Amino acid sequence: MLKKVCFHLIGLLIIGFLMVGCAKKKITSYPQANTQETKNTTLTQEDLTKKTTNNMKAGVTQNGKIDEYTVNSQELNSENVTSTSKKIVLPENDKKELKRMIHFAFDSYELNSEAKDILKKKAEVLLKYPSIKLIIEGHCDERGTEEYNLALGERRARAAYEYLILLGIEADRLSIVSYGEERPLDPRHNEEAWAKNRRDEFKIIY
Amino acid sequence: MKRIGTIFLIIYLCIFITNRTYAQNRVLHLNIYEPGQPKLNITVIPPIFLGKQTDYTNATKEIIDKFYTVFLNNLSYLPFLNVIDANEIIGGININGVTLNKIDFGKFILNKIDLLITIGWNIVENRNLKIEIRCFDVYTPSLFLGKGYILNKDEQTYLAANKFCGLFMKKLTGKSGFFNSKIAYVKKLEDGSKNIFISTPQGYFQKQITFFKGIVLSPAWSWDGKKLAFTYLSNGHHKLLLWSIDGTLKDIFIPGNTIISPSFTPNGRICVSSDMKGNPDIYLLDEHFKVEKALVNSWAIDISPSFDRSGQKMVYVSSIYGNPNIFLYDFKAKKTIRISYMGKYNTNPCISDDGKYVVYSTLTESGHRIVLCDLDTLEEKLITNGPKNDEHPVFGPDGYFIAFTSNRTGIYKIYITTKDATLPRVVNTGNGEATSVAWSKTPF
Repeated sequence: MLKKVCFHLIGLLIIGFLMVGCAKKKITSYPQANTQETKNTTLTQEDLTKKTTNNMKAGVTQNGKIDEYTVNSQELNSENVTSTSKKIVLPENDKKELKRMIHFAFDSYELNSEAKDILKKKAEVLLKYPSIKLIIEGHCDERGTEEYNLALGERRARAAYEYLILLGIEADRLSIVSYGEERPLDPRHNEEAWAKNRRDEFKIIY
Repeated sequence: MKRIGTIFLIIYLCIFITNRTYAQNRVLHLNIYEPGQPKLNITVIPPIFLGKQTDYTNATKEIIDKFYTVFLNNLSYLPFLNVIDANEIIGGININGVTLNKIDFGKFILNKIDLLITIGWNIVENRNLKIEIRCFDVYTPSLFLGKGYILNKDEQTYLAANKFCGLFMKKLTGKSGFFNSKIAYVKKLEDGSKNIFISTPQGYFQKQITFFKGIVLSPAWSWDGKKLAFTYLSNGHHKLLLWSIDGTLKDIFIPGNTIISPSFTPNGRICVSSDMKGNPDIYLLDEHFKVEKALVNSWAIDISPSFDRSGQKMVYVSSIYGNPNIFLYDFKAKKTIRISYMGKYNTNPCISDDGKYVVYSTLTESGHRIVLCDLDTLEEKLITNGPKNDEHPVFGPDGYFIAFTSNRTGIYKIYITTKDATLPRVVNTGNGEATSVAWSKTPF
């Protein structure tokens, strides 16, 4: 008697264990079975192939469009930024002054006093040579993100541009471009390198 | 004595009937958007040849073996699956065929396998390869999904595996996109130029689509997946360019020196940041690519617009409070709110298609990290942990997978994670730095 009761209890435990095993997967169960599922089970290999081959061919062809991504894009004709007018020979000191870089703090485009002094000297040289033009390039260190650095580089270049205009330089002699973090001076990944890379560079156009 | 036996017999019957009804009625479905979802155990039986052993060559066998490898690799991208090696099945994987009636599901139940996949293959006309894939719900047992494919060249192993896995994910979760979408990214080449490549999210079918000597930045897919807008930087100029799937390239003139972060609205318009009025502001272009109006216009830096599928919500970066932060503009309510409060440097926002979540990168003491923001609660949580920098997150078309760039191994590469912070997997982009990932919205 006791043995039989034990036997039944063990049986119940095994079934219970199996059910817990099923239930732990917390799969959403819906009241009605999907009839499509049942129908699918009756598909033979042949049916399956017949039913799906056409679709699959279409699918494969459609996906195959990746091969059609042939591109004939060519290098764009870059605008020539250099003038064809007669080149002025600048004294080495003035050239050096015009090319002298200014630097910025992290995530800042504020001109510090040193940068302002450098820009004042540039303005003096530019006033001496009215045909000389400058491209102001804004650069950033690698710590910011790409798109924001492109905007920050623009603000840095524009800060110098606006200060030079305040100092009497005509706007049509100045242009700006931002390179963001794309052209670091120092490729290292430390504070010293980052400080060097947060800068405005100046390119002379004769 | 007899009564006890009868009682137990009734209990047995009740349990069996209930259990069987449950098994027959259940429909496998996972809600991958809810937290704490359990993993399903799945095993894939190695491909079984359905013809005569003399019918195939070693070359054909190599293709089918490759298909099996690609198929398993595809499944490994789905974090809600626990792929069990077929060799680990206790009792062996011996099955009499690939169809329902030829499989003893009992041993797979004992091995706690939820889903079983069989791959049958054969040689058909013109030496083409026929592959039949069947996925069975072990507990029911019933066919969960069955598809056949005819392959006539090697590369179609990837296409067939992607096609099946896309349908499988759709049926299991209600969402698809990972296996039938493309990513675009910028790759630094040996000559120092940066150009756009496209591939599948797993890195299959990698193809270079631009061939510039300068630098390409910020590619953005159109919603129909047929165009890419991007910034081109060379010889002191920024340009906004538009690449089309037919290979044409259009130079779009936008006033201003600095053209940043183009993006598409769901109705096909381009939105871009330009400094035409002295500050980087966000402008909407009309269908002729002329500036229609400013969407965000302030004294500060305003960049990186991203739209949801309804076109009602736009997230963007603005430094109007001094530091870059993420803002949400609701076109219907005509209201802007700040949504990033973590750290002081928050950039690269991307809103999910359904407009429920935003991902962006935040600068921490240890580098940039990816943040997920729930727009219902504005709760922010870090979903990556570096090391070094994790930047530029973008949602996949399903709003579940997220791609981002990271230099965690020393060089910037593309990684894939999910909104549940699944361990990131690197995308095979070959040699060189890969950045600025964009994920096509509409499945191809």
